[in-house]
Amino acid sequence: MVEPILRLENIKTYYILRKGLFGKLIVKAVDGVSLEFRPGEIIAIVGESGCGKTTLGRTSLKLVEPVAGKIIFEGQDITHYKGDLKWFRKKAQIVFQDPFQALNPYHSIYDILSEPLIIFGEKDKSVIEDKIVKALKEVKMTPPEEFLTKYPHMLSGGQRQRIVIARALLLDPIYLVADEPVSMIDASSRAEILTLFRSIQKKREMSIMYITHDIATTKYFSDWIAVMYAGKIIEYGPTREVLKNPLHPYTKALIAAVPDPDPENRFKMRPVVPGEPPNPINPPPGCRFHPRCPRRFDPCDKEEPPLKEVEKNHYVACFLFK
Amino acid sequence: MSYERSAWKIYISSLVGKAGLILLILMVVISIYVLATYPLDYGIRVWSNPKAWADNPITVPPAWADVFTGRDLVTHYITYTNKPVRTVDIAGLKFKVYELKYTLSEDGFPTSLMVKFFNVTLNTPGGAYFIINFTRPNGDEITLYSFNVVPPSGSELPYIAFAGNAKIIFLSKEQSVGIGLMGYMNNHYHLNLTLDEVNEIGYNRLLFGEPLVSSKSVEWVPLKGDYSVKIYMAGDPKDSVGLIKAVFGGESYGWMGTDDNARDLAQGLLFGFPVALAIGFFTSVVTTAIGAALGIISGYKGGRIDEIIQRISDIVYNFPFLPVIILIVFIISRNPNFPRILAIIGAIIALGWPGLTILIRSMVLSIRESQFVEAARAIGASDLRIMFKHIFPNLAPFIFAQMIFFTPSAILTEAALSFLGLGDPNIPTWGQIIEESFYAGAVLNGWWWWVLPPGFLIMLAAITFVFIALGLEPIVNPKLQER
Amino acid sequence: MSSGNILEVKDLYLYYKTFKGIVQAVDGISFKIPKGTAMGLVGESGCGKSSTANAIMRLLPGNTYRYEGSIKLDGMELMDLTDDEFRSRIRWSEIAMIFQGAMNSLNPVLKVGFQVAEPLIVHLGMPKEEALERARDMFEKVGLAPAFLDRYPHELSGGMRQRVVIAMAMVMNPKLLILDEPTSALDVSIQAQIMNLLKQLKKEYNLSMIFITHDIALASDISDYLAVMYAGQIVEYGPIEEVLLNPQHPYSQKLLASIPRLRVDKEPEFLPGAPPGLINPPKGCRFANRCPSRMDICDKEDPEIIWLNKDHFVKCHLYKGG
Repeated sequence: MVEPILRLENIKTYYILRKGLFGKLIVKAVDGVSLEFRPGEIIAIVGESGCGKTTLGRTSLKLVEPVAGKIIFEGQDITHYKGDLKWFRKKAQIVFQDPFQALNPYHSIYDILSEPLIIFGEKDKSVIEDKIVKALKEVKMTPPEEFLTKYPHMLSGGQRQRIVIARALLLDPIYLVADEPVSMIDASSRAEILTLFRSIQKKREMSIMYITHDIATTKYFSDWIAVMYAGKIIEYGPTREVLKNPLHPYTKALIAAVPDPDPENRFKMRPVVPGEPPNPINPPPGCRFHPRCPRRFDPCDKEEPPLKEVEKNHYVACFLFK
Repeated sequence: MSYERSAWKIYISSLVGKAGLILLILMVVISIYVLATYPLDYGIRVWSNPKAWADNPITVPPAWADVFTGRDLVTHYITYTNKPVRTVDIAGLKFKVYELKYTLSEDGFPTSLMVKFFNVTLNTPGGAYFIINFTRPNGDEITLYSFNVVPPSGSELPYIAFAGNAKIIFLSKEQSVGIGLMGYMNNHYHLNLTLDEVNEIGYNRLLFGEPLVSSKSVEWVPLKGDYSVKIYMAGDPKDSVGLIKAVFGGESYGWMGTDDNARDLAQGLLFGFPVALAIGFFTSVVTTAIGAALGIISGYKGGRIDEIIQRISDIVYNFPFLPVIILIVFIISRNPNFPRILAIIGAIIALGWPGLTILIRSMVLSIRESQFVEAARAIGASDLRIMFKHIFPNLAPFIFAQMIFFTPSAILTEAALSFLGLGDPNIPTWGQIIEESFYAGAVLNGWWWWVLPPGFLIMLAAITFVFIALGLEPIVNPKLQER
Repeated sequence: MSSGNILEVKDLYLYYKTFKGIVQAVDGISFKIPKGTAMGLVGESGCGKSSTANAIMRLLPGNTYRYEGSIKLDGMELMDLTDDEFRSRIRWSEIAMIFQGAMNSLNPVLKVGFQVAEPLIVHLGMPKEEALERARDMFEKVGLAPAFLDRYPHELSGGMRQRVVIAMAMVMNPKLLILDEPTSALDVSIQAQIMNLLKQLKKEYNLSMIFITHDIALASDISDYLAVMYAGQIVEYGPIEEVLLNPQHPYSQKLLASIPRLRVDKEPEFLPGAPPGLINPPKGCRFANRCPSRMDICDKEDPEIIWLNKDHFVKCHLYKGG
C-alpha cells in the first residue's frame, strides 16, 4: 500500500462568531473528518453550501487552523508546526473557484505567473519566462507569448481558470486542493477544463482534493467520492461505485436532483429532499440529516451513526446499514 | 485597449475633468515661469527688502483700474539725472542746477513726490548744500526743502555720502514742505490757510493742484501741465552727485497694484503659485503616503498592530483640526530658527493622515478576503509582499484620487494659518498677502486689489484640484468588469 | 385574435455603444412562444441571452445604439408603444422578469412581504392592506409560510429568497415570465425544489416562460422549446424533443455533447476555442472558426434561417436547399 501524501485524522475546524456582548457562537464547520490522499488519486468532496467542504480544503492546506485532529504531510505531523511553512506551500497548492476573483485585476498574466517563482527565490528572468511559457502550454493556452501581457479582464472565464491552474502548478506541487474549479464556468466548457486538469494530474501523479457541489462532474474527475453533510462525511467510496449504488439517503437525493438533458423531464416533478441544509451553529442532535430524511426511524434523532465500511471500500454513516 | 488608455479616455470625456486639467496646466506653467525667473531666495532678498520697493507708490490699485474710476489714473513716473544742466550764481554762491521734468496730463493728483540722492561725492570737509525747488506749470518756483551734507569728522576725502543708502526725501510728507506750500498758496491764491489745514488737504494736492473757490468751500483740482523739480547744489566745484531720482507717485501701478509697503502685488501673487502648488502637493503626497501605508498595515495585519494604529488614528482624527494646528504652529514658531512654512506643513500632515487610514483600513478588510490574496498566501507570499504588491494596486486609484482631493484642503489650511498670522512673513503666499491686507486695514480703506485677488487665487487653486478629483471619480470606481 | 403565440419576435436588434466599439449584443433574432409553453434560451456566457431579455423588457441602457425589430405580445406590437406606455401597461403586469442574481438584489432594509406587494401599490394603486393580502396569497403559492412576510432578506436562506423573487414577479399575474439564470447560485437540491415550483406555477397559471441558462440539462427540465444562441444570433430553434435528441446545428450538437452526464456512460466532448466577441463580429458564419463541418462558404456568408419543419429552424449552410 502506497504511503499517503496527506493524512487528515479526525479534523475539526470551528469558527468563533462573536455575537453581542454575551458569549460566543461556535460554527462547527468541520466536525471530525478523516481522509487519506495517495499519489495520483483524486478524492471528490461533494456537498452543498455550509457542509464544510471549503473549510476542509483550507484546513488541509493550513490556511485555516483546526481546533483538533492531525494533519500529516509526507509522514510529518504539521498540525502545530511553528516554523516557516514555505516548503509546505511549495508542495501543496490550491485552485480557486472564482477565476476572476482569484487573479489580481491589476497584475498582468506575466506578473501573476511569475509571482510564485519569485517568492521561491528564482531570480533569473529567462528561467522564469521559460517556466511560465511551459506552464501556459501545459494548460493549452497557445500561443503563450500572446497572453503574457494581458490582464485578467481581457480573458474569458475559461481562460482565466486555466491561468489559475497554471499558477498552482508552477511550483510542482504534489497535493492540490481544487475548490469548485469549474462551477463559475459555463456548463459546456466544464468538461474541457476538467479533462485537461485530469490529464495534467495523471501525468504529474498529483493527489487532489476536488471540492464540488456538482456531483455530475465527479464522474470524470475523481477516483473516490466523500459526501459531506453538516461537517461530517456521511458516505465514502470509489466514484463509480457511489454513483451507481449510492447508499445514504442524502447521496441518493443529491444524485436524483441532477438534471439530465431529457425532454421528458418537464412533465415530471423531480424528487427532492425537503427543507434546507442545517445551520452549522446548531446542528440537529443525532444524525444531522434526520430532519430531512425520508427514511428516518428511531435511533436517528438520538445518536450519531458512525462511518462504517458496508461494502468493499464503501463506507456509509447511516443506521439503515448494520 | 489597455487599462490606462481607457481610464484616460473616461477622464477626458468629463467637462470638469477637462476644466481641472486646463487650470492645472495653467498653474504649472505659471509656476515654472516664476521658478525660472525669480531668484531662489526671493522672499528674503526681494519681498522683505524695502529697497526693492523703494520707488513704488503705496497702496495703489492696478493700472487697469481706471476702468472703474472712469477717468485716467495718474501714471507712476520715475525720472533721474546725474548731470547738472547749468550753473547759476546766487548771492555770490555758485550753484549747480539739476533738473527733473514731469508732465501731469491726467485729471488726478500724483500720490507722492520723492527725491532720492545717491553717491554724493564731497571733496571738502565743509560738504555741500542742497536746495530743492519746485516749478509749477504757471511758472511759479517754490522752494520746498534744503539740507546739508557733511562728511563725518576724520573721514578721508573725497568722501562719498549716501553710498549704500540713498538719501530719500518725501517731499509730499516733509514738514518744511508744508510750510513752504502754505506760504505760496496764501500769497499766490490769496488764501488764509493754517498749517493744520495744509496738512489736512495733503501736500500732493497742493503741489500739483490749484484751488477752485466757490461760495461755500474751496476745492482743489489738479493742475495739468509741465512741472520741474530743480535741485541746486553748492559746494566744491569738484563735488558731484552720482544720481538724483525723482519719483512722482502714480495713482496706479502695475498689473495688480501695490500694498502698504509699496510692493508690487503682481510679483507677490505670482510667487504664490509655485508655493501653493508645492505646499499643496507635498503636504498631500506625504499625508496620503503615511495614511495609506498605515491603513494597509492596520487592515491587513490585524491584531495588536491594528488596535494600536486604530486607537491613535481615532484620537488624532477627533482633534479639532484648526485649533490644534494653530497650537502646534504657534508652539513651533517660538523657535525663530525653524522655518515657519515647514511647521505649517508638518502640522497639516500630523493631523491629516488619520482620515485616510480609517478609510483605507476598511477597504483593506474586504480586499483581504479576496481569493487572489488567499492565492498569494497559498503560494507563500510574505505579508509585506501581499500588502504592497497585491492590496495596494487595488487601492491605488482611490488613494490617488484622495491625494488630489486633499491638495486643496492643504492649500486652504495654509492660507488660513497665514491669515491668522502664523504664516511665514518672508514668503509671499496668498494667505500671507491677505493677512497683511487685513492687518493694514485694506478692507476699511477700500483697497480691493489687495484683498480680492489673493482670495480669488486661493479659491481657483482649490477648485482646480476639486475638478480634477471629480474628473477622476468614474475611474476610481472598479471598472474592470469589462470583457 | 392572435395565433396562439404569447410572444412573436422578429428581426430583433439591440446594439450598445461602448468605448471599445459597438457591441452587437442581439443581432437580428426571431422566435415564437406558444401560449402556456416555456422556451429555453441557452448559450455560453456573453452570447447575448441577457441582452435579449433586456430587449424584450425594453430595459435599455443609456448607450443603446440600435434597438429595432418586432415584438408582438399576444398579437399587440410592443414596439409601437411609447416608453411610458410600455412601463405602465406592459412591464411587470404583462411581462415580468427575474434577473440574474435577483435573490441577492432584494432591498435589505424592507420586509420581503412589502417588496412583493410593492408592484401592486405602484402600478395598480392598490391600497397597502390589499396589496399585502395578495402578497400573502402569492407567498403561499410559492411555498413560503405567511410568517415570512415580515422578515428581512438577510433572515432568509438563498432558496427562500429566490421564492420571494418569484412571488414578486408573479404577483401581477403576468402572461410571460422571463427568468435569467434563476438557479445558478443555488445548491443542487434547492435548485430541484425551485424547478419543481416553476413547473407547478407553469401548469397552474398556464404561464409562458423564457428560461435563460447556460446549462442545457437544466433548460430541458422545464422547456417545451429550445433556442440555442451563439454570438448574438439564434442558430437553432425548435421543439425540445427535436433539438435535444436530434440537434441539427453543429454548435447545438457540440453543446449537448459537452455536458458531463451522470447517468449515461459517455465521455464528454469539448469544443476548443472561444466565441467571437460581439464587437466587430467576423464576416460570414460566426461559428465557422470552431465548426467541425466548416465549408468555404461559411467564411464568406452569414447563413440564412432555414426552416426544417413548421416549428424548427436552423441557421447553417449545411442545410441550404432543404
